[in-house]
Amino acid sequence: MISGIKKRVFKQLTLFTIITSLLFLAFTWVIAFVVEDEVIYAVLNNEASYVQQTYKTTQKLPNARADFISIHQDQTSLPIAVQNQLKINERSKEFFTDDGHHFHIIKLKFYDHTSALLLADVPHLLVVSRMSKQLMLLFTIVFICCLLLAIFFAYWISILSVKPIVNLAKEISDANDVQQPVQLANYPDEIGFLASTLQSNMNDLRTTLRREKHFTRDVSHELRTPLTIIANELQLLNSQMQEHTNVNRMHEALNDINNTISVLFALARAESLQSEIIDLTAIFEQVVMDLYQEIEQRKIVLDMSLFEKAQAMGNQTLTKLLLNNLLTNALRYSTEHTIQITLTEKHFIIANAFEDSLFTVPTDHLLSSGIRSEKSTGLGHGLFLSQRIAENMGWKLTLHTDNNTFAITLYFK
Amino acid sequence: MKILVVEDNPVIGKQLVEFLNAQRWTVDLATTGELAISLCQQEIFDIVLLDLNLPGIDGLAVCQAIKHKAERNTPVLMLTARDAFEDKAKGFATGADDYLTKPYDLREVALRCQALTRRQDLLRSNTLQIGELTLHTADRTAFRHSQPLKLTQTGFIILKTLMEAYPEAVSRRVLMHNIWGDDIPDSDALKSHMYSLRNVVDKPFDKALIKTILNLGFKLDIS
Repeated sequence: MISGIKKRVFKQLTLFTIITSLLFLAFTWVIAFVVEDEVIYAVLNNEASYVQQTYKTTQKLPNARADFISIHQDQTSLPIAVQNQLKINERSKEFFTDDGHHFHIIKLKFYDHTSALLLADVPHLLVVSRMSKQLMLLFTIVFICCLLLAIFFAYWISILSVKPIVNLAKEISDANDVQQPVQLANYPDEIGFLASTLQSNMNDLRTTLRREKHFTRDVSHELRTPLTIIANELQLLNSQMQEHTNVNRMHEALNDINNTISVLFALARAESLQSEIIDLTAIFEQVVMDLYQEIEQRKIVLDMSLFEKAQAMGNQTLTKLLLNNLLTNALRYSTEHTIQITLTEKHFIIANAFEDSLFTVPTDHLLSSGIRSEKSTGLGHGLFLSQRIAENMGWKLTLHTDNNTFAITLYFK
Repeated sequence: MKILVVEDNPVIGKQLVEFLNAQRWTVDLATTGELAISLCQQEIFDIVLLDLNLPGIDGLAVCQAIKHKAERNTPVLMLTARDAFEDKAKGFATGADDYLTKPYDLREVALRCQALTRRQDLLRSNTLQIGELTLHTADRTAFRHSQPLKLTQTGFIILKTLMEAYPEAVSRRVLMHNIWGDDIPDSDALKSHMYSLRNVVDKPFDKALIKTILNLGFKLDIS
């Protein structure tokens, strides 16, 4: 990135210099030809006024003063090549012939309304054309010298102008220890303003991230310690009382709270924003095996159709929590002993039977916080959190009810 | 089995001691990091259950000290409320052998203790023992009720994987990876290997030990 900016500035400066130099070269070349033509016309005009003056005095056409100029009464005495050119274009004033002549012609009008033609054969006056090779060589040498000078200055300017940006970028790239505050150098100009803004924003961000980490760590500890005590106590109680229904219910509620806390923490953490290509089939298989005991206890049969290598862009931890949520939900609320599960390359569908009469809430509302059906004994956050996890990874979660079947479809990214 | 529980919360400490004692294991409780380090230098423990939030010396420093100072490499199972990836990475970097986040299931704590000691035993003696099954990794032999099992090379890998994972289940995909690496053939190949393994491990005996889990994987059922 750093060398890229320098290179780009260098390239642009060099290109600009080359284009400007070439334009000036072309312009100078045109000016040289124009000046050459103007000199010839000045000589011809001078001769024309001499001829007109002499004719007025003597009523005769004089001989031209220069040997490369001739005076003609009409077109018939002009060289054949000039006559042919005038036939093509009567207004032409300049002619080139194949044998190396270069003519300029002027029409003279006298006081008695007669006219004559002043013809000049001027190849020896074409200095620019004659010296074009030498001039081109000179231009090329000067052009190369200017180009080398321009490249040197372009390189020098690119280093000077980009240096503060390059230094700033290096400082930021080196400040990768998120535990340390960022301290950028002082710059006197706009770069200084940019640097101080960046420094302040980065430090604010790092402080916020540190605070978030400490907060989630403290809250996690404070919430999970009493939950551990309750869970352990229930476990010990269960082993003494042999599978008591009330204890099991408390266990279920505790699992709900644990699950909700895990999802909320996972969603709150910056690490959950990191996405990668994940193996959905492997994650779902692991979720099923983790819930194997509950599946057996509830005597549920999973009718699964799993694509062998379903992959998606997402977060491993969040995906596991999401699939765990959806399967736990289906296990808990299915009114029949079969749950249909389909995993393809594009989506995941989990469908279970439910009692229509107990479904007092419209399907769409189930994705809202705190909303649950009458039969539900949960917190009413399960599907809401599931949807939040899906949204966090850019996935889409939809609900569908049909013929006493409740289906959730998850579309992957 | 002798276990050291390092936990500053008196209720959780008491619960762990009560539960682990009920498994007929000997349990010592240390409420500070200093005491835990000192106990590890004086006595030999099969496992240390270590909480990270301790007064004084932090759990990570305790883990490091136990691993460096103790004469024996005692397996450390971290039990903590810190569940961020960064915390887990730090835990393993300081020498933890396993990591369990609160609130945990006490039964899982017991199972992980068993798994850790089994792994430790395997390192020391190259022998795995699960119920009636015994597997020697050095000479690649296996026995059920002292009766030798004639296993193929693949059958030995499958049985070893299942015994190492016990009581957890092992997915088909993990088994196939352990057998064939990345060059995995179709799933029928595993099916035929499982059939052969069952013929050797289960068929000649009264009770089947290899159990299929929802067509997704397998586990050993010793109960």
